[in-house]
Amino acid sequence: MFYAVLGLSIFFFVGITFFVVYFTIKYRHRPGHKAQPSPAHNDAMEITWTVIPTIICVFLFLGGWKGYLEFTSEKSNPMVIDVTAQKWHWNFTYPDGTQDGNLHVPVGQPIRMRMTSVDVLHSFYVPAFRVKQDVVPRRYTYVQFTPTRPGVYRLYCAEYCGDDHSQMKVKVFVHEAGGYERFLSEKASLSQSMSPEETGLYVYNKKGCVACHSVDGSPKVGPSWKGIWNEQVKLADGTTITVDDQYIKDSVLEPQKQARPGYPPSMPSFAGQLSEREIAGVIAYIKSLK
Amino acid sequence: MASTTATAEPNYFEVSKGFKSWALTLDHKRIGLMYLFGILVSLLVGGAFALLVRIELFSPGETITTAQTYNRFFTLHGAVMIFLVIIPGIPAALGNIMLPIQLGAPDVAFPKLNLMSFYLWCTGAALLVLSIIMGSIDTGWTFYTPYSLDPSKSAAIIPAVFGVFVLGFSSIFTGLNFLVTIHKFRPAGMGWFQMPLNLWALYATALMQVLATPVLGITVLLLFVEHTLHIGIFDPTLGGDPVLFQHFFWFYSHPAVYIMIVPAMGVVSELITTFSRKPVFGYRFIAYSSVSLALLAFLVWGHHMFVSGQSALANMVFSALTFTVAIPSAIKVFNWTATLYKGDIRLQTPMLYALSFLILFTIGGLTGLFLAILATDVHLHDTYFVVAHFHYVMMGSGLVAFLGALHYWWPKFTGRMYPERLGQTCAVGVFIGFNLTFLPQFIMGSRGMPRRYWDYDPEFTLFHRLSTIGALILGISLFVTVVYLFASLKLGRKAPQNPWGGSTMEWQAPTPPTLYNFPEPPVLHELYDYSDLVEDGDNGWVRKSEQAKAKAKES
Amino acid sequence: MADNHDAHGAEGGGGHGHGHGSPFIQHHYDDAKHQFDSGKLGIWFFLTQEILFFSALFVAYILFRAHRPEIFRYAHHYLDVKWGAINTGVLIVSSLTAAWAVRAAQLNQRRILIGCLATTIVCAFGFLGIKYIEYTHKVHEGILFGKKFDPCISSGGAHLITKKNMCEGTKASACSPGDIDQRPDEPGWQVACVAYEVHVKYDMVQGTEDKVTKDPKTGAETTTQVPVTKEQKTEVSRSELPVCQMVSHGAHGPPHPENPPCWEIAQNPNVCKPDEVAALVHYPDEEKRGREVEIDLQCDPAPKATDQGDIFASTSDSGHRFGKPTFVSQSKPSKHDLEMLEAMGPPPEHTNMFFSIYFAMTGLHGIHVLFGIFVFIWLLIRAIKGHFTPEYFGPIDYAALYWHLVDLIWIFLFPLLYLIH
Repeated sequence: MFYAVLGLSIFFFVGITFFVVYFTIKYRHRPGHKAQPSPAHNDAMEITWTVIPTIICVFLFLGGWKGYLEFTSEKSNPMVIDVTAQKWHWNFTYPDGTQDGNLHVPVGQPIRMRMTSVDVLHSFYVPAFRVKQDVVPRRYTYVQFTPTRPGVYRLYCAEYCGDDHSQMKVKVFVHEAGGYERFLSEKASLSQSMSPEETGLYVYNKKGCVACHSVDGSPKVGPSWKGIWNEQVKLADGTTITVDDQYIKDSVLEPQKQARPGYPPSMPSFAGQLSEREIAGVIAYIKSLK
Repeated sequence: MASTTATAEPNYFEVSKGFKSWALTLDHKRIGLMYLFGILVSLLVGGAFALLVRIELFSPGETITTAQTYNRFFTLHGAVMIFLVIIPGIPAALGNIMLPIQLGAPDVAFPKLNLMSFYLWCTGAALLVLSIIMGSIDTGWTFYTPYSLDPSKSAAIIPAVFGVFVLGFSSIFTGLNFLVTIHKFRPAGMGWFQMPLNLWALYATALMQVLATPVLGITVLLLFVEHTLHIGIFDPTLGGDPVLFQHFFWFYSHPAVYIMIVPAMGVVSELITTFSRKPVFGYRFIAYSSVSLALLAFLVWGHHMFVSGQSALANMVFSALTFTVAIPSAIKVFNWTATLYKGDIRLQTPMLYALSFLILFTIGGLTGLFLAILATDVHLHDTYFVVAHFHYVMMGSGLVAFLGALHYWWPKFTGRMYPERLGQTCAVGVFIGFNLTFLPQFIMGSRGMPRRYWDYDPEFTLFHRLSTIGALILGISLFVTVVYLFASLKLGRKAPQNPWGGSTMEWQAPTPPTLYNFPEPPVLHELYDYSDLVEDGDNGWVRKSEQAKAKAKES
Repeated sequence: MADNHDAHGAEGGGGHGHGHGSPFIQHHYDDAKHQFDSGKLGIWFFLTQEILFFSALFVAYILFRAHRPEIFRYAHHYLDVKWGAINTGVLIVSSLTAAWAVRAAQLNQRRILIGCLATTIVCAFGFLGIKYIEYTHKVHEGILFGKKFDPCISSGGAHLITKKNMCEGTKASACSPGDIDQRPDEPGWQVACVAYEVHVKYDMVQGTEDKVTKDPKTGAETTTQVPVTKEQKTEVSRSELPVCQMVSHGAHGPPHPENPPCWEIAQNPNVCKPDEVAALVHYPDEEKRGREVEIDLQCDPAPKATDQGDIFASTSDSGHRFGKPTFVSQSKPSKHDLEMLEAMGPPPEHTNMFFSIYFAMTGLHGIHVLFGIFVFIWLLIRAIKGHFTPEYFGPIDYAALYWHLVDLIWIFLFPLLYLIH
């Protein structure tokens, strides 16, 4: 379809440009040259070039509509993956409950993404699959596709969502037969075998903490994690609090409640997105950042 | 005819002097000139933001600025260019100056309202500047909710949306003024189909301004109360509907695109016929297509939202309706091309711009087809393909036509000629720079480069670099153009009454016109009839019949 | 006109003072009629613009109402039809005097003109005054938009909950954890709504099996569709006035520890007439809360026990996206019952949206009225100065047209906001 339209467009473009250039050269002003009388209008001709584009447009519309229906109509027996988008990362929840920041799908399997956003509009865009769908807060939107070739592809956010909009891109792994199952089991064993600090580091990188919090003391959107453990910090309401297990857990689950002054209230709640084990990991990780 | 009487009466610059005589003027030409000044300054500001954006994108990652600053740059570029430059460009500035003169009228219908529109424009511009001082918006010019509801950014967003609200009313009052003027101030003998095509286009534009802009007004007003009172209509956390904002916004902003392009089509119709020395081909078709574009503009807003989550049925309807827009546009392009046929084409600066317009608009229009087709739009939406497409339409067509019109009427309302050679060079520079900037973006977009990205994948580097180089060429050409135009006010050669041999009424007014434009009632000649006009050296073009009459009188 | 226009062009340039009858005819018009016609066309375009300006709000109204009818049904009880109707009348009168003013100007009746303009202004002030009363009432009661919608902090609420303030006095006890079976975090809420002299309170109902309970006092049988794990505790007391009480908890959204949603209807014979229903509203589980609500309707434990079995039986509308209640009971409740139940219950999720729309629409309309007042005052001053003549009365005509539009918009707003059923 794209190429058909491209061909058609090139045809019209070349045609019009040709006539414009040709007439311009042929009838350009030069000594002795005068405008020649020619009809001021020609209804037959004008109607022709009204009707022909109309017909072409009808065909283009029908073609586009058909293509659109093909990829929006429900596929039989799809694998449903839940997608949560937030500033500025993606979280994919697979049917067995496994979560990951990258998208893993088996080849040949129809996939249906059930998507929602926790903050602003985002847009799920995988150029290689030719799919795009906005992700809207407090509402489910869906997109479906069937990956046909194994490989690694890019997934972008295509709806402007703030500072790190351009960093909200992850990878799509289309696995060969068996690869997807391997991913799930590796993921499971990995999370079992990891020490709390490693879990924390993993969460930090994969669940989007890295977008707003540094671990080297430099300020980003949110406060840095370095050296805050057991420190007294000032809160927005003027009180001070010690950074301990409880404070970190509260901040993860209800970030705005004990927010620190000077930082925008842009952190969403991670309630339901992180397991107890993962929160414990984050706490251990912050502890390790002296 | 009027060359003798013109000297008898002071022109509109000489009538009165001093700051107050300008600040409180009711003369449509002075108001138009003040608009023009503001718009050219805004053009340079908006262009500077565009260059900063392009320079940042010269390399992946951080080139000159952080992502946060980059987001502000592209937001300001969009807001300034759209609300301050292109929308008021042809109608409010050039239309203000030329519309009454083309009608042979002494002024617009409501001169005081006209002045008020101008001050509203100034207020709006000042509010946008205030929002820059208050920390600057980074929402994109579209202010999509809920991103734009972030309370931590209220300080910048409140003045910005209020500024847009005020600018909207400036636009509405201008449109209203023009509608009434065209209805009530046509001279005897000028029926609707004896009107120059530029007036048809301005009429269609004014209609859209009056009918579409109020919806933008209420939308940004709601955004304003969203920030001040947290009323919640667009706020999903309170049960509001963020997608409703998009519907409202595009209900205005799609017609807004036509507010930018339809007057451009009007002036291009004038330019092509004048510089081909031939009546325009298919006058009625062009006139009708302007009006039909104005009406269809209201039916297609949903094509900006094919992937926003609206229903498949809505997508289908909007896709189908969108194609209907292609047809009047195509008719116009064919008719303009046919006007060139067997003409006597003079490639002066305005005509160069008009021909650039033809080619750029064709590209812009045809790439629009890709976006109207549902299946391809899903892929191309919110990518550089869209960016390139709307720049071809809004800038490649809208702004280029604005420049063409500016050069065409510049001698009439300033009384000075601009440097022709330099003008032609810059026109070519604009054409080349523009294509170099935006052609690579089509390729990037079709390969999946999303828009509004501060950073990009390395495979796009080449295209981004080409684009940045093109933008620099474009920027330099535009900058030189603005500079030589201002310089010509002092240094330019005195302009004759009719430097291009135009057949419409404005060329009968003295150069520059007098306070009420015509010291003597203008004569209505047949529209676009060039047979009577001959070149007379430095005096520009004169009418044979009148020359003969004058001679007969003398003897 | 056009001929005149050319003639004007000839003598133009000179500008002012060329033979127009009124000093207010501007130089660039041919004559008074030309100026009047242009102005009239202009005002019509302006009014078109105004209609479109309001149209977005009407569209928003239609969309939200189509999506969430229960919000609108519920919330209109908060509005006082009486005030709305008076305001409609006031505006119609003012529109009449505005039109009369135009006629008076045409006939050069200066005294009547001034009188009409003054009446219009007075009516406009009256309208705004009544709006002020309505607004302050709502501000006082916390019936606002967005997060400010919190009627529980107020001394009343909907007119169903008017007059005697129970909310304030009983809030602490009604919503205290003790009332809700020591488990403030449990989902679900209870309603007891009984007739004269009887005060019933149901406690948490949670569990897995059907149960038929017999009210010890009245002997009426009560079927609870949703099984219970716990015996229903029923306290019955007698009071002198009709009592209708609701205790809600966690009605929508997660419970808010500091400010538990609390709804009571007290001492309102309009709602709880003798013989009417008692309702038990129950949210089946945490996940479904806010999406699906079951309301068990129960017989009034006191009189007319025989009727009760027939009134509520079948199930209607279930699984609505925005939490439309499902009625699980023995017979289909009448429309009136449903409305009443809805009105007694806690506001549906996002009832604040109704007030967003209400305040946006009436607020914008109010601003237009205010603007109209300025215009009419200006006209009044000019009329007193004697500027208007049968030849020059355009401004009055234009202002009157504008005023009619403002009136017309109110005529749409009044039924859309106040008279929803």
